Amino acid sequence: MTAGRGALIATAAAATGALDLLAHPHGDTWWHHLAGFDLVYGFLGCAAIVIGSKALGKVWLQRRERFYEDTEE
Amino acid sequence: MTPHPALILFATAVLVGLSRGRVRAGLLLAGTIAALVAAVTLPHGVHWGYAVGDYQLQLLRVDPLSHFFGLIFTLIMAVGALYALHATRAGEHGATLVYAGGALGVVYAGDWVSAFVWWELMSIASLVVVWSGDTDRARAAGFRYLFVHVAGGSLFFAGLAVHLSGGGPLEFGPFGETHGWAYGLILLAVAVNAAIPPFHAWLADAYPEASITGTVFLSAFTTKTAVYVLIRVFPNSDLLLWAGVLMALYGVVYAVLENDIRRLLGYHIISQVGYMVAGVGLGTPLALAGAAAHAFCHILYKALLLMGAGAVMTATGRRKLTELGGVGRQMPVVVALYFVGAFSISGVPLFNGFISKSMIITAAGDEGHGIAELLLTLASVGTFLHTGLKLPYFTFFGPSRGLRPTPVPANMIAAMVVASICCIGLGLAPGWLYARLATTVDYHPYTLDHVAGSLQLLGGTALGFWWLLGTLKGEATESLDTDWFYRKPVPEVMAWLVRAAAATGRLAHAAARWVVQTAAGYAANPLIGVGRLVTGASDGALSPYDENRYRFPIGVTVLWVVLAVGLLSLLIG
Repeated sequence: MTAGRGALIATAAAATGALDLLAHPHGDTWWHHLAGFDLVYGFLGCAAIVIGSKALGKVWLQRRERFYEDTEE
Repeated sequence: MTPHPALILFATAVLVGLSRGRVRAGLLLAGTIAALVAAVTLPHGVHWGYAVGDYQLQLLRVDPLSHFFGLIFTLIMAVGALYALHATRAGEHGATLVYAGGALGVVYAGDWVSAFVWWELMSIASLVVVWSGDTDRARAAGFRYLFVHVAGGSLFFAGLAVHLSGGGPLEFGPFGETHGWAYGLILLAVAVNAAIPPFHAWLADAYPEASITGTVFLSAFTTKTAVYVLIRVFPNSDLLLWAGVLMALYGVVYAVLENDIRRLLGYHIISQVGYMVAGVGLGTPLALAGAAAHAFCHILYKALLLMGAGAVMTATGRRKLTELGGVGRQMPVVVALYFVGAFSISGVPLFNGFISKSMIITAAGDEGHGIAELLLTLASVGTFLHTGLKLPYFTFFGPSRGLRPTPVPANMIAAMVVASICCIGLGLAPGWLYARLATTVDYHPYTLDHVAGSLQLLGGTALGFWWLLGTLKGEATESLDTDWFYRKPVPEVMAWLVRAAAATGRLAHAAARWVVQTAAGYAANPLIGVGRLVTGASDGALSPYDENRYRFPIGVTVLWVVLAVGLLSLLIG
């Protein structure tokens, strides 16, 4: 995807962040009262999931295709 | 007599087996819709009760919870039947009908014994559905599925035996405060069917190997029947709360690594069932209602997603992200319908996942489980990342591989349209769903902060996806999971055992041969042994028997004859 689309996504995401300024938070914990928390959490969470899982895959979990079949027969 | 929806499906299975072509298709649709109508109109109460000895069996107990699950099970059976209408094998239709009937049987069972029998029927029929894939991989995965579910069924039976022999009530209901062996064994059996790690690997192993139409049914019944049993029997348990949170994230991690589109969606079944298990673990009215509501919504959108993946496979004959790409332009209707499922599972406002998943996450926050709330939200990020962004991007958009998709049967598209209408309808009118829940809840998903939070989460995830797009493309690999334990060491241990048995056999054969040969020598000539005792000589002791060696010389005979003749001549003369 191009940088232009990235900018479009960023703008749309920032606009949703602005909604927090109008909203009345419901939860008890501190992050419910932090404007834009979910936006940052979504971005960092996404990065953590991708980087963490890929690292786990590389060092441990990923094997060649037919890993089981080639030894079962 | 009130009709039992499961029996309507069994009767349909018989009729489908006896008919052909359009008649069969008509009967399949009519039968499954009849079961749906029966489930909708079932009056509350115990309808099919029988006394067997001291036991009071209840085959059709309708209360708000069983009514709710019966509704979604019969609905998805009808939608799935529409999707599978073009399938020509009567056996596959029969297996799915019996499978759905088994799941309904568990839901409507009012006593433990009936529940167990239906549970096992469901397992056996689902095995046939797995085998409907009709490939070597499907057959092998089916045997592993059988192995796991026989183990699970045995645990259930053992728990049931302990429960009933200990004087526990026959009524299929909560254990209450008694957390003994029966509680543990049955919970373990249900954990196997709910695919709670580490007992989950059968799901990602077997479901993607079934036929394109069969996988849709598999995604609906087994795990959600287990969720129903968890809600009914095991509410409020910290163990289940954290098991659910772990499940939700576990599926997400594996989905990052997965290349097979149906296996990726399979890992997201595990992740989504994690929310339900966490809801059961929380045990508050809102959480339990959320678990049931999420099961209802999940069945619809997950079936829709798998129907979309199935449509892609039907059109292209391919199932891996590394082999797909750029087919969206040729199949825009499938793309649009797939995205209804993807937005639903991702919790986009106005779609059904938003109105049910948020109940569980909110309940976790209300109970002061902030960490669980954050982790479940993180799993939600992963869900949108995979089913809403990664899978559709690399399947429908992304780099084209010059594929030429063939048209998809109209009935498959029609089924996806029906499922989409249900997903959007429930998203727009959550009150309809909430009114049918077993517990009354005062919950309003469409508050501004909640909608804003969800949109931000989705926006943040989309940004992350755009940033990391390069590392997210499919890789032609398989991932190690807990099935490694019975796929790698077990065959090797089995091979070792066979080799050990063969070596023992050869040794025994050699020993027996030596004993027999030695004994044969002595049996032929016992004097060998005597001679050895007397002379102490060992040579010749084992030489073969030679009769000439012990024969009297011919001269002795001649001497006796001469003497006899001489004596005779003296007597006569």
